[in-house]
Amino acid sequence: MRCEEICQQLAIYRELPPGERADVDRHLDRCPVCLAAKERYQAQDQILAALEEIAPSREWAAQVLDQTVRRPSRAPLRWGWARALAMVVAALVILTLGTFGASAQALPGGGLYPVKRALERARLNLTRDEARRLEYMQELAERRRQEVRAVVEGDRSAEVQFQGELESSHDSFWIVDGIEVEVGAQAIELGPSLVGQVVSIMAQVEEGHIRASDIRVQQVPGPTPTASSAVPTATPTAAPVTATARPTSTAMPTATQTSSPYPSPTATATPRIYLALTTPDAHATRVHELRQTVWAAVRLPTPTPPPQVTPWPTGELPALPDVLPTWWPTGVPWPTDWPALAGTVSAEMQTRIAEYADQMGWHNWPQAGGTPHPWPSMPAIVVPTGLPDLPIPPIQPPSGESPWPSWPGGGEDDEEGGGWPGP
Amino acid sequence: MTSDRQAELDALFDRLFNGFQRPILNYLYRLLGDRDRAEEVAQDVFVKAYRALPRLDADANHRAWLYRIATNAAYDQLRRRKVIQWLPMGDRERTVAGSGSPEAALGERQAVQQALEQLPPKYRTALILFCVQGYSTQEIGEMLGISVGAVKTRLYRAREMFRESFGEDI
Repeated sequence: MRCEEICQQLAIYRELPPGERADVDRHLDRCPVCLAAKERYQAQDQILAALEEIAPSREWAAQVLDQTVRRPSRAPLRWGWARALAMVVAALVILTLGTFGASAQALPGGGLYPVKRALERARLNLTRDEARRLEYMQELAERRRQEVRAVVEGDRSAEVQFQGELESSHDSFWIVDGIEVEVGAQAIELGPSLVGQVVSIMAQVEEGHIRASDIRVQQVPGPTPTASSAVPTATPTAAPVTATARPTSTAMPTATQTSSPYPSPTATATPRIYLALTTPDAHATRVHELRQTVWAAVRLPTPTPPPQVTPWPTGELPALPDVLPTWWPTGVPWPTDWPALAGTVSAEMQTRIAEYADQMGWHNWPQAGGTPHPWPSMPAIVVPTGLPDLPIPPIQPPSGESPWPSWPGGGEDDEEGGGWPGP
Repeated sequence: MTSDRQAELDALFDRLFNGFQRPILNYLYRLLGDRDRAEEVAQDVFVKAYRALPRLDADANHRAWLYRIATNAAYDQLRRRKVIQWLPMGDRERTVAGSGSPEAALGERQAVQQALEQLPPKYRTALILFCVQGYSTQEIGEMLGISVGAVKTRLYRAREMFRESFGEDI
């Protein structure tokens, strides 16, 4: 059997019949590649099987049963009972309408606030048009922010949830869409790299202070395989999450997990940070940077960072010693401005200059690793012609990669000779 | 519908709900990556199942039927709300405390969930049903309405994609 066929069998190894399993095992005895695949799949099985389960809450189960087996009976009613029932229903409708009307102004911590949120969620679920849905989600996000401001201005205490663009990060707080939020050490550390991103904050408001207990940043993934619409290219601010969304609740380390997935603000010393990524196609470098952060957080090996680009040095070149190299073009003044040479020097000339600089020990040249040293200020030197050729000691090529930054325009396109400009 | 028939259906639904509320909820949670959405969708699934129960054949495979409803509902959710997805990251200071600590375990679980969410839905579905929920390829085929061979192919591809997205040699 070919290795690919074996790997497909290995993907379902645990349910292979004995005969097939024996065939596969015989192949594994002589194929280390497939054996490694088997070990990988077994490791996958272990880590996937170890995923923690969530338990259905009683409230959720009750909601399901209320909509199914506990629905109102359809038995016909007598007229007398029907009249009484109609009056009760009418009273309830009036009361409900009044409640709904009053709930529109409710703030977090208020008795009617859950009613307000439930109405918003119902309206969102009933909105099928994607554009209107996004518009309504943005409206809800702005409403949450207004509520936070109202709670703070009213000097009330409440748990709030809102999202907005991280405008700036300071020593102990963030500014999120104009709202000052006190955050923990990890948020402070990551704050500068998250400026401009949409963040979702769960916080406790007390005595006019907003203290974050949970911070999330959004990810915008690619399309699903069956989706017929285009890849979403909206920025995170264009598609905010509903205000009623709650974080995933895998093993929240609080005692209140069964009643609310959010950890209690007083129980969590350090805000938990959830990192977001923009679409990989649009921001590949950003993905790379943030992925490094994620890997560091979960103690996985850090991927190799992208190579550093040595910035181009500026300033005047150092003064020459007594003689010029023999290969220096006759009559050409020694350049005083390095960037002026960019694009005019051939690859061969570039290599020669590098070797000469190394031989001469010109430590002011940019070193490997990319940090340029400051150029000394030297007077311009005009090279006289007719100098005798003196022997040059053997030149050792620079070790490792060339310390030279890459020439803009490249030295390989030497179509016009690539040499020095004429005198 | 007679009251006896209704009582039978209600009793059947009770059994199905008690037996599958947890696995269906966890299945949707792994597919959608968010508990709130999973609860919403799971609620819709059981309500749809309750309404469709009178039309179900007496000898139907109830488990496969429920999972088929759940899978379709999850795909609808993923298509509709493809713009948003949470990517959780654990507390960095805690996760470097040492292997075997609860914080390190939490970080790894989150990394696994993140890697799962990078998979296309049809491969994610197969991997969750086989590796997380422990169903056989035959059962998965019935649930998803595909052949056993197609399940095997999806599992193989899902495992390779999971390996790439998880980032380690797993």
